[in-house]
Parts: sequence; structure tokens; C-alpha cells
Amino acid sequence: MSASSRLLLDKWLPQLAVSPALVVSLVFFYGLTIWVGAVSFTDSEGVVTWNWVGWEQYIRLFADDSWWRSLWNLARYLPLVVGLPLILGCLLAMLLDQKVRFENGIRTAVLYPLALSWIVAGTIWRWLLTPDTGIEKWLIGAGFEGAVFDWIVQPRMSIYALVIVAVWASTGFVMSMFIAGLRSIDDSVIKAAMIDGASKPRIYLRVLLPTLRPTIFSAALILLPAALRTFDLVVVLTQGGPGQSSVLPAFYVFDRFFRRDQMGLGAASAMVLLMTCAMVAVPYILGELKKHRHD
Amino acid sequence: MTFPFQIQPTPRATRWAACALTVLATTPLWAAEKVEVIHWWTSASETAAVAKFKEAAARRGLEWDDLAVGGGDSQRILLKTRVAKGDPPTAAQINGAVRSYAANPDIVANLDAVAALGKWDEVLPEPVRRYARLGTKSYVAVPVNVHRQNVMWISTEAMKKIGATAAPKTWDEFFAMADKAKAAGIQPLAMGEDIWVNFTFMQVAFTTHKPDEYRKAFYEGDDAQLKGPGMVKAFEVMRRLRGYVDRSASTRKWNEATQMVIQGRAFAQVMGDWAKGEFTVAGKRQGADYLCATVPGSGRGHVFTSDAFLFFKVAQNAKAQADLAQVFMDKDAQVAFSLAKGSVPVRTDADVSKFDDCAKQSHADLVAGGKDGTAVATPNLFQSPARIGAWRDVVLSFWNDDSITPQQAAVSFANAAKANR
Repeated sequence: MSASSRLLLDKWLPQLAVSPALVVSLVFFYGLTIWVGAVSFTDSEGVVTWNWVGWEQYIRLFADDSWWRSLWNLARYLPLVVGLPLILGCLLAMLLDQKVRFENGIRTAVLYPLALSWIVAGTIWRWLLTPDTGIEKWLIGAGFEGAVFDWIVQPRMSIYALVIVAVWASTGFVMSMFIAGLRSIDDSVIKAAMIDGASKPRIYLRVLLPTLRPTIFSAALILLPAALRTFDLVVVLTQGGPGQSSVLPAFYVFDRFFRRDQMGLGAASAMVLLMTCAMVAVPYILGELKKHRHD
Repeated sequence: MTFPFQIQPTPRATRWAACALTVLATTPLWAAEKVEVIHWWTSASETAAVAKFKEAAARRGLEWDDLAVGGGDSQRILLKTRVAKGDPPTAAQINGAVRSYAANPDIVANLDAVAALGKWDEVLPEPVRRYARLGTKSYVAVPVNVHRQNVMWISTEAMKKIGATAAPKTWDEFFAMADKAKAAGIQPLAMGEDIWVNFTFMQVAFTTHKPDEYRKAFYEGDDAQLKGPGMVKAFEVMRRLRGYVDRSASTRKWNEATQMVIQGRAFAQVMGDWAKGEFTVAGKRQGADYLCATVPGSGRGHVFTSDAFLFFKVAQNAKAQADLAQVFMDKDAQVAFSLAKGSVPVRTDADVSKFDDCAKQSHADLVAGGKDGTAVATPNLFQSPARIGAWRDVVLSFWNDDSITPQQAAVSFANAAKANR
């Protein structure tokens, strides 16, 4: 191979390697987003029909109590399933960072949820949370006569039952991100702080946590969209029940689009959900990018 | 996070290769005509049942290209996609939720010629004929079986404990027995998750309406009937039933609820005839260990759901499609299929002598009910999924909230029908 052709190949190889993925993401992500957007302006029911009805589906959507219910559920669910794993994951990472024994074993145990299929994990949790088979029965058996733990069957509390499982599932992942972040901090920073006479909690809070900022940012950016599109959890744990009490917007979308033959309405709700995601994510990403540039 | 339903279409290439091999190996001089059938029967008994139709198809020289998709939801999504692409299968299993297909004559096949040839008008009970047309004028689907829904499964062990000798005939009799069961420490009614609350409501509503009123309310969506006294009564019964259900019910699968009756921990369960399989697997005998009675107040009235195959318009092979329709209506194939699946054949002239008592009763009631109007199809077969879903929301909010009165619930029920066509 001549030198010039090798140069040409070197130049174009990365582009060539990336282009199939680019095409796939263009077609399947942006193409289908546009398709769903278009469907949301039609009166499609069981099959897609291109009968334009303007904003009618959106008007119907916001007149639907179940949709409002799902938004209200999301408002209660979202802060908890983003905040709790961040706090717990950070704490666990700091505790594990103390050069404890069996660190690997503990790490595996906390990361275990990532290895379990949702169908299996969901079924186990369903039994654990159900009063007559799970934790409540165990507590009563252990001597706590009046123990009550029935969130999953209480319409008012069922959304918090989902929170428990979601937090269990993502804490380990966040923790491993924080451990990686902590380990990447240069020892000399800590030693310098120690020489200055800072106590250990103070070092973590004032020195290490601020340097972990990008880690917190990426963890939040992974948790937030995952929480917004929570669907499988609802399917395996409660199917949105009791009644409509644990329906989240993504489940609402699926239910209308595929099960209730209301494709137009489902598409409209999907678009609203997408816009919500964009509204949260875009300013956040832009803001962070700007900060990095200033650094 | 993974998507919990998995669509697993057989890779095309392997399928073609397999077909080609089979054709080479088994076909005599003429090439078999190919029919593609999508269904969601993947459990052991279901696979055995659907094999009966495959055998019948093979006898007629049809090559059955099987596309079994685990899970009704996944099957519906695949079917929707295939139809939207303009590449429908020859036939697809359905039960309810297909009005939008049937309403579009460009998509579905017209089976009137086959129906006339096979005298379907004579051998199908009236509500089943209506279902096979799915609200249109022509036959578009072939119903193959009937599952009775208004069955109450009762533990004889629990009956002995409370001194009962026969299944309750009315709701008042049931509530009297339920009180005794509760006093004896037995769960009076085993209930499953939300969809089964709604299922139970439909069976209760059948007992609080005359069959004609039921049809008017649930088939035609008549506003006055939907909020009428029959509906209020149905909600009243539901409110009383609520008191006999434990609080863990909403996380329980239907078969877990059936286990409660099997083990004698619960007195009764309202569930379709498919629950029989659970008793059989547990080694329980009909009549001795459990009773298969109708829901109190239904008499010998019959509420059913039916598995059917919807036929799509295909460019070629119209002859093969007609043959396939005849396979599904074949008397012997239907009997063999239902024996394996635990349902009853839909043809009134089928020979049910090999079935158990419960199924024989179901078939007899279906045949009689088709003549005198006491057999009705579950509303799911005729109403849009949107309306069924909206009704379910009303029933469940009533079930979970004591402050809603039966009158208010009946009004919401009628409004839900108005808001969702």
C-alpha cells in the first residue's frame, strides 16, 4: 500500500466506522420521533390512519384525569429516584473508600441488581412487598405483632413501593461511578488537605465532593431520563395498580398506544414526555458545557 | 433497562431453509400451499392444542407456516406492525381488540363464500356469529372455541367446614356462606390483580341484568341502560364483595388466587374455565375436591370469550386461505383442539362426550343459550379497547375508594362510554 493511500484510509476510516451507527440512529431515533410526532396529529386508533385532526389529541390528553394522575405520580417519583441513589451511592462509595476488607464482595453485592433481569427482580420484589407473603409477614413472624408494610396495595402509597425498587436497582451503579471518581483523585490533594489540618469528614465534604462534580453530573444525567421513562418496573410490579395509583407517563404511553388502541392519544402523550425530557436535559447540558469551557 | 416483552420472530433465513428442507423431504409431486398463521399459544398445553389444527391442515395439503409469539401483548404489536407494513399473515389469532381491523374492508378477507359452503349460520350460536363478523356484514374471522367466564370455583373442603352442601344459587346465599367462611378463618373470595376485579364485575353485571338489558348496555353502549338500576345493583354487589377480599389481592396473579382455593385457604374464586388446568395439575378431582359452578345468580346463563382467527386479504393463495378457514371450522379438529386446551368447541353440533362434566355443562348451556338468548359474549369482543379500558378505570376507582356510591359509579360508567367510542 502506498503512503498516500494509507494516509487517505487513516483519514476516512473513523468516518467509515461511525457512519452505519450514525445512519441507524438518524433513522431509528430521529426518524421514528418525527413519525410519532406526525401520528399524534392524526385520529389513529388501532391502526395508523393519516387523517389530520390538529391538536385534538393533545386537548384530549390534558382533559384526561389518568394523564394528570400519571404526571402527579411522576412528580412524586422523580425527585426520590434521582436523589436517593445519588446520596446513598455517594455515601456507600465513601465508606467503601476507607480500604475496608471484602471491598470486592460488598461491591458485587451492591452491584448485583444490574445483573438481574427485571422480570425476575420484579417478581421477587412483588412477593417481598406483598403483605401476606413478604416483609410484613416476616416481621410479624419475628415477633412484631402490629407490623404493617403494605405500600404496594395502598393506592396512596403504591408509587413509593416503586421508588424502593428503583432505588435498589440504581444505587449500586451510582456507587461504582463514585468509587471510580474517588479513585481518580490524586492522593496529593488529600495529603495537602490533611497537612492543613482538615478532618476526614471535612475533606470529603469540602475537597472531594466538589471535585466529583462531573461524576455527579453524569450520574444524574443517566438517572434522570431512566426515571422519566420508567416502564418495565410498573409492568412487573403493579401494572399501574391498584386502580391508576402507580401509573407513570411512560406506562400511560404504552397502555394507550398498544393496549387501548388509542394510537393518536398515545403518540401525543409520548411527545409531551419527550418535550419534558428535552426541557430538563437541554438547559442542563448546555449549562454544564459552558462551565467546562470556562474552566 | 430491558423491555420486558420479547418479540422473537424466527429469523427469516432459518425459516426459509427449514421450509425448503421440509418441502424437499416430504412433499409428493405437488407443492403444498403455504399459509402463515400468527398466534400466541406457546405454553405446553397450548402448543399441543394448536398442533391439532396443524395436523388437520396437513391432511388438506396445506403447509402451515407457524409464527408463535409468546405473550398476547407482543403478538398484538407484531400483528399491528405487519398490517401497517402491508404484509399481513394469512390468519392471526385474536380475542377482542380488533374492531379497527374489521372496520377496514381493504385489510380483511371476506369469508362469506366459505361460510355458506360450511353452513356456519346453522352451526354457530347467535352471539358467536356476531363475533365472527366483528360488527361488519360479512364473516371476517373464524371462532374456534369458547371459554366460559362466569364460573365460580369452590373448595369442597371449605364447604364442609362451614356446613354447606351445594354451591350458592344467589348472591344472598353466597354472602351468607362467605360470612361463615370468614368466621371459620377461611378467605371467602380469592381475588387476583386489577384486571380480575374488572373481570368479576362483568360477571356480576350479567347477574344483575336480564340478558337483553346486558346486550343493550354492553354491546350497544346504551346510555340509559348503562346508568340504570341493573348497573347500580352490580356496583352494590361489588361493594359487598370487597369486604370478603384480602388486601394482598391486588398484587396476586389469577393462578396464585386459584392456588388459594386449591389449598382450601379460600372458599371460592370467580374465574374463567381455564382455571380448571390449575386444579388438574394439582391433582384435584372435579366434584370431589372442587366444584365448577356458575357465578351466583347466573342460572344457566353463559358468558363467554372466544379465540378466533382473523383472516386478512392476501394477494395470492385465496384457495389456501379458504381451506384454512375450513380447517378451523372442522368439527373433529375443534374437538381435539378444545380437549387439549381446556375449552369447548364452538360448533353446536360438536361431539362433547369425551369432555368432563364442567365442559359438557358449558357446551350445553352455550347451545341452549344461543337459542333462547341467555348466552352472551364478554363485552371485550365487541367494544373498543379504549372503552373497555375506560370502564375498567371506573370499576377500579370504585373498588379502591369507599366514598364513591354505586349511583355515582354507574353515572361515571355511562360517561366513560360516551367519552370513548
